[in-house]
Amino acid sequence: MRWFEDIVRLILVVSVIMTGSFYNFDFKLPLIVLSLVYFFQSVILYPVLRGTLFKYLTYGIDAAYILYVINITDQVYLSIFWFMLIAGLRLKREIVAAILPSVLISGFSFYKSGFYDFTLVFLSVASMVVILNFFLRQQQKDQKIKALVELNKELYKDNLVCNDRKDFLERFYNLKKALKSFKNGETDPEHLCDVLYSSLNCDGVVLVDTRTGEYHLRSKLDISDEAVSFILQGNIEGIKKELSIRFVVLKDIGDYRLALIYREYVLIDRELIDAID
Amino acid sequence: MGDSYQTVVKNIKKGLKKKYPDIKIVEDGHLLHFDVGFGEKLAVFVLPVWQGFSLGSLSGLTSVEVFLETVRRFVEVKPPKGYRARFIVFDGREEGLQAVNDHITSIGHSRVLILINLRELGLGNEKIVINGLSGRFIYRIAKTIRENGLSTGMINLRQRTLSDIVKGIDILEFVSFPNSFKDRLTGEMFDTRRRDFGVTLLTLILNSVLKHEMV
Repeated sequence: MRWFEDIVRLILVVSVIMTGSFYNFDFKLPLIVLSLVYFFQSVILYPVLRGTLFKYLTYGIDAAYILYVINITDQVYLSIFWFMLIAGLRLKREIVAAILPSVLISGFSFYKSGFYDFTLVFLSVASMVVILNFFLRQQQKDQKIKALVELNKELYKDNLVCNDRKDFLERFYNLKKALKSFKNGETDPEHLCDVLYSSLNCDGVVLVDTRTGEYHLRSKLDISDEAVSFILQGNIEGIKKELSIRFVVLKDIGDYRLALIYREYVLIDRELIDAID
Repeated sequence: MGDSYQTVVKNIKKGLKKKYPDIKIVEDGHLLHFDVGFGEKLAVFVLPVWQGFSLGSLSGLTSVEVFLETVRRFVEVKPPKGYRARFIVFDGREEGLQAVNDHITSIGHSRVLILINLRELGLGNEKIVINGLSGRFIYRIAKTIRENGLSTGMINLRQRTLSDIVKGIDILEFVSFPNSFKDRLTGEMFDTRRRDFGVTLLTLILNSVLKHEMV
């Protein structure tokens, strides 16, 4: 909105200069110089002061200039330029800071016009437009924020769905990679047990070497030697009875027998179990 | 920083006393409890105020909202039949966990039908943690999920759960998994639809598991 304010100031300065020329004031030249100084200082200095507390000083300079030119040219309509300058204010504290100069300019214009009714009308309309503009922009801002929050909620929901899928694919990939490495002899049975136990929702993983009977396991349950021998024999009922469990899945991976133990229920693992071959 | 246990309890008490002045709230050091309904047997609903809990965070706000909505449904919609619903809010640190354990022991394990941990319910992607459930409950929950076509699953959690501390009773817990944002988002992301889905899931499961216990 800076460019808008610069244009308004330019039009203001041109209006003042033209008023001076048209009415052929004695102080025409000083008025032109003052106007040009005002305009150029606003273009050069204001952008620097805008990010600091001195921005409120810029309002004061604008108000002082407008009040001064109204006073010397008797052109009360120049007060409209003040309202155009403050139309772009967004923050509440800026609007509050602009109230005093607005009252001064409006009051002074009304006084200079000889308390003419129509002056009051256009000043009231101008100030109402500024206030309405502020509230409408606030409303738009609130609506935009609300729309963004709703969008974020939908994105969160979509993200959860994607997370589910991502988690499954990650576990699938880890499982397949570990199985491949194990079959190629690149990793040991301990590592495979770790990956299987972390990827699946089972209560226990037992990997038994069918040649030597050596076994590796990851389990919260106590796996007895008797249970391991049942695993070697492929005796599912024996395993279930020995460990007091409901489900067990037996798979052969090369020379190893894998047992996946589920205390009560085979959880969300069906697809992953099918991927073990 | 987060909100302390006292701040959370103050907020919950304020909300409850305003809406349900007849509810008798008992404060006992590290926990607060109150009952809805009548009966010898109890279904216990717990809300832990964990370390880092904040009412301004999504997880904190959602857990309190789910807690209050569950109370509302029991009080206004359908009171518990054949059992009492006990609601407990406790300090999630060691002292609070011990207090809950002692409280359950003082009730008597045989009187507690089930204990339900409401943390993480309503965050979306809820999975039912079976670590603390016995076979018959797991079977009934699996059946309920299948029959109702629910988009949830059961999971064996590989981290410390309430069932590692409170022993001797069936404990139903929920985990929002996988959910990498649950602890990072603010309360602005709270959605009443997710809260209502969470509570509906809870009541569906509760009805199915307790139906046979009441016989």
